[in-house]
Amino acid sequence: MHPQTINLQPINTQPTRRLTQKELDGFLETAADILRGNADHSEFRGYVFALLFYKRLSDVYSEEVAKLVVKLGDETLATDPRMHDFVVPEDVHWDRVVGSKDAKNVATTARDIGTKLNEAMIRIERANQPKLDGLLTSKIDFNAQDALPREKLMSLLNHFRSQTFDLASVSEDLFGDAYEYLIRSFASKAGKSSGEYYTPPEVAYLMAQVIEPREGQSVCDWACGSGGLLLQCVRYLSEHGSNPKRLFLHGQESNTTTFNIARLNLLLHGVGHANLRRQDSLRYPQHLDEQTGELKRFDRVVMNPPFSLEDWGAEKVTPKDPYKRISITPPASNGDYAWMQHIAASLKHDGKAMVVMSQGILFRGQPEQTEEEDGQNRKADDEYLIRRKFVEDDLIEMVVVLPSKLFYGNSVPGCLVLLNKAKPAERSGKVLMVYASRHFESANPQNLLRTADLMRILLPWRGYGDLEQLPTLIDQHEADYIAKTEKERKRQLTDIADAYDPVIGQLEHVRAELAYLGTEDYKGWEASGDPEHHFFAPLSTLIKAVEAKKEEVEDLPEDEKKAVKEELKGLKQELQEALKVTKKAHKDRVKLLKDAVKKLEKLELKRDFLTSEVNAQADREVSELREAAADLRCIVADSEEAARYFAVVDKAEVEENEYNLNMPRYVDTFEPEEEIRLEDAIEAVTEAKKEVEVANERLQQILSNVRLNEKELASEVV
Amino acid sequence: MIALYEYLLPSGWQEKQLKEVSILKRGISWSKEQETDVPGEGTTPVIRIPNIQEKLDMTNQLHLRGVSEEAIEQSAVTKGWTLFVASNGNLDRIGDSVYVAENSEMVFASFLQAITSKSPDELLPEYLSLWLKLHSVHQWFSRTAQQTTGLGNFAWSAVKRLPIRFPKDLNEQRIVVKAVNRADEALDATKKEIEAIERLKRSLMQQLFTKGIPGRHQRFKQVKSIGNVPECWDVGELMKHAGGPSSVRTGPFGAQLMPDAFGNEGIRMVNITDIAEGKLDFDTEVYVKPDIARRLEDYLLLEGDLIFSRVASVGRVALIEAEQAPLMMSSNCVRIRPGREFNSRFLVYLFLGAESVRRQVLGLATGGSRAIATPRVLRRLKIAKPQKGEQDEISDMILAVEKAVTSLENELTVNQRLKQSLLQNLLTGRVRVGSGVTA
Repeated sequence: MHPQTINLQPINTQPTRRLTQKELDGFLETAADILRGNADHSEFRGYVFALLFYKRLSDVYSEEVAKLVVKLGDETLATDPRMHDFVVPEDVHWDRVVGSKDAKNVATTARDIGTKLNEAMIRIERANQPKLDGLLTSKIDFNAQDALPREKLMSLLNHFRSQTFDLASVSEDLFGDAYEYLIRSFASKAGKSSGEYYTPPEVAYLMAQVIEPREGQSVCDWACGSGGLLLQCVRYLSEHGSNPKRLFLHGQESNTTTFNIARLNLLLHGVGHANLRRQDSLRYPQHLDEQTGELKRFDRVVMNPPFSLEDWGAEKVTPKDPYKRISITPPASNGDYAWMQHIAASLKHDGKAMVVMSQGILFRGQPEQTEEEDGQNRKADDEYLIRRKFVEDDLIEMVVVLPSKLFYGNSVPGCLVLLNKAKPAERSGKVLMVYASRHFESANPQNLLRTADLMRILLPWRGYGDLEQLPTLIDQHEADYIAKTEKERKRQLTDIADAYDPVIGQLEHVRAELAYLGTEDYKGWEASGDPEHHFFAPLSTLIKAVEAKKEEVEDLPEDEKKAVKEELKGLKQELQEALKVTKKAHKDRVKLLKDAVKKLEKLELKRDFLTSEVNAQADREVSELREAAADLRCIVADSEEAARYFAVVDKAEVEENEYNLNMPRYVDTFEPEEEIRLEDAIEAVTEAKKEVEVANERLQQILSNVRLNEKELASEVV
Repeated sequence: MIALYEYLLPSGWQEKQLKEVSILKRGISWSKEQETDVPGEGTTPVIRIPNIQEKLDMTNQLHLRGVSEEAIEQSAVTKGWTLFVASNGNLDRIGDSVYVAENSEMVFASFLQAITSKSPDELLPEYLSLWLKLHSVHQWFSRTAQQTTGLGNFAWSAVKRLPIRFPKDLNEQRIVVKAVNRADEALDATKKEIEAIERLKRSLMQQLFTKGIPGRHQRFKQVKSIGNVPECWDVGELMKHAGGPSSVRTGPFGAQLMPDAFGNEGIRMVNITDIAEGKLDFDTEVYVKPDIARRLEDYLLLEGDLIFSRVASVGRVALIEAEQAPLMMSSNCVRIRPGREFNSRFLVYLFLGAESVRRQVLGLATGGSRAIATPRVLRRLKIAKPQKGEQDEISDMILAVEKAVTSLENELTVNQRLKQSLLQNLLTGRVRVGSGVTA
């Protein structure tokens, strides 16, 4: 290496630019872990999400201001609220209240922090009216130590403080996704107690794919939880090149904490236009038609209401309520069919709804029973009557039975029901039944639907179970999903490369410098005399001056030497001192380089590990997709095989089954019995008989002969 | 020394404390993250409590990642050792043991321990292993276990002084081991034969309910929900075959059977727990008073009736035999009274063995885990019915196979008792091999 290229700037050994998705997920997971062990996990969620949002808002705001200052050259202008989507008043900025990344401790004492944070939340809400109204303050009091113990709050603040969340570090998509990851993480730890029924994104994706929301349409989720289903509809539009801002989102959620999390979730995904309301949807629906007072009608409804809700409001939600949605009142102890009727009533004349329901809705409720046939007289059950009406009204287009354990805190097997108020003519009077319980990734505590499993559901849906059409769709599906996987692989690899490569890129340079400076210490340099040596070359002049002075001394007559000798002495001293300083600088630099090499090599290993993880995951996904596609080809080529996965059922058949939609009545859900060839079975019996005879004979032999032939027997044992 | 034997020590035998002749080793513990169901590079199979059955049962095998060389060495499953359950919530399991006949790459878990003979020249490891199976020894292991939490732990201090007696002559020890092992082999062979015949029965049913008596039918038809059957078989709903809706009915409802309806004598009541595979196997003993039974005549079970459980494990069915009738059915049961056209036993076999019927019953039953098969569903079962003569032949064939199984099961019981007796006599020295001397 040429010394001129030596760069004496400090060497950066931290990935500077961006966090990868995995790292960010891990960071937030730790935040959730800080709160672990407390009884009511769900109450904490609000605090974690509010603090995270506060931190993000502060960091992004500072970043924007800094950029504007550069651009406009005017600090006052740069902090003008009109220049920003969100504003953080300077005195309640995170760095002022909690402290910046570099500060040693939290800026506020543990005694005052609660009050300071409460004030900050109020001030930020006010500064951003009406966008953030109630978002950071309802159900949140940082002084309520029984809800959030102070030491946990301090740990949480310190944890968040250690990371910068501006856009340069964490892009909008990444932050939104990480936020959703945290929601999932809470849901998985809290189970039912989280107060919401979290829908795994894979299921939400599937639902959006089926209802195909379009630009200009209205979508509603009457039990919107943290907003995951609505977000999937937004994504669906983005993926299809449409403008997601032209999708009119509506949501309602009864739990205040969850409601606020949903608002934040949408905001953080850049969705500022959703119409979210907080209330119990069955008792007090909030999206109403202004003129009629009935439920507002939507183009699309996506929902995962709580399964078999016991206290759903039977006393209030009746055929007589003003919303005209209930025609038959479901059992007071189970709200499933209240939701179903509510949903159907809130669909436009050509609307579609995709709903996650307990499988119970498919078969609960008996038809009328008679003394003669059943030994007793009994009226038909309400749930039977409602289901029958759904079928008779031809509202159900598809039923998908899902694997068990897909939903957090709920082991009840679920199903998806697609309602369509305007089925295409060729599907009129028909229901596609899809049995999707066979394929999933078994995991703890929750099973997962893999991309390949989603394809196994979407394919029969897209071809509506038509065995002639389906084979033509497989290649395209396989290619599309593999492309999707590859795109994701590329995104993640780029993510890693962006974060690590610029830093690791220094390694070669640093190693070369170390190699050079390692050999070119002072002695080495004396030998090589490299005139460009960064440390020692500048000493050359002084060294030469000393040499010249020495020669001068030698050439001088004795009486003149003394004065020049003094000069020489001065020069030598100067050289000694310069040498001392330079050698130390050289030594320090070598040490710095050695450290840097160590750190950078460690980072290189980490990057390689992350890269290989991403590749392994993507490779696995691709091979699962190929396998599923090959399997699907066999399935659709053989009607008997296809009947094990899906069936198009017509109304008459459903009627014949007394409007019972239980999957095994229509799709062959059984695992086939092993076929045992009679010849083989007979032969095996004969063999076994022989073995018994031999064994018995051997036993008799030892029992009867043991006393007579003791020695002989003993010799053959063991 | 603790008294373990009722008989004096035979000549040529010696008695020592367990601790003098044996050594122990412990199993390994691990963390949840190390577990995997599938073997892979660097994984080590581990034997846990569920694997300790009468023999080593490897159907449910767990593998561990990242087990250290030392741990593998310390807790290896090695030939000559006997693994036994040392800690368990169920105290009766403590002391259950299995002899390791071959070296293996496996390790064993910390809730197990292993024991072997300190000096095989004096005491054979196999002999020690059999001695551990003695009822009285096992009792010592399990009963002296100390239970502090939900878990009981075996106490070495309580069993280490147990007297183990054994012939001084190693050959005599060998013969004892061999005798018990041969009884074991005979047991295994019989079990295998039973399995083979059970498989034969299933194969036979598959054949008989889809093709009829072998070689008899040439023409077949495809029937929806049933599949292939001989063309001449009569296909229809069970109700039609059996003779009208009343041939299928549920038991009396609650109000008809108040608590005072039951007594110590009268007509025996059948509950669903009494219904075993094809026959009744009474689990309860309840009688309906004679006068009440007379009133509930419609719910009596007579010879040839089929009794069905309609809740819980749907599809269990039993035939009412002549010597059992009359009986009274409970409300969770459904009775099927086959018409004259039916051989009742054939119908029972059809329910037990025909895949198409099983599917229909489960498919039509409402609900997932708490399935309920109503009479409505049962009446609508689609059934393919041969002529009466063929029904008789089919049920006779299956019955013959069943009888073979029964006689083998008797043989199995006899063999099991023999093995137990060998343990009791040969390992205590009550009966001597070779000399025939009793102490």
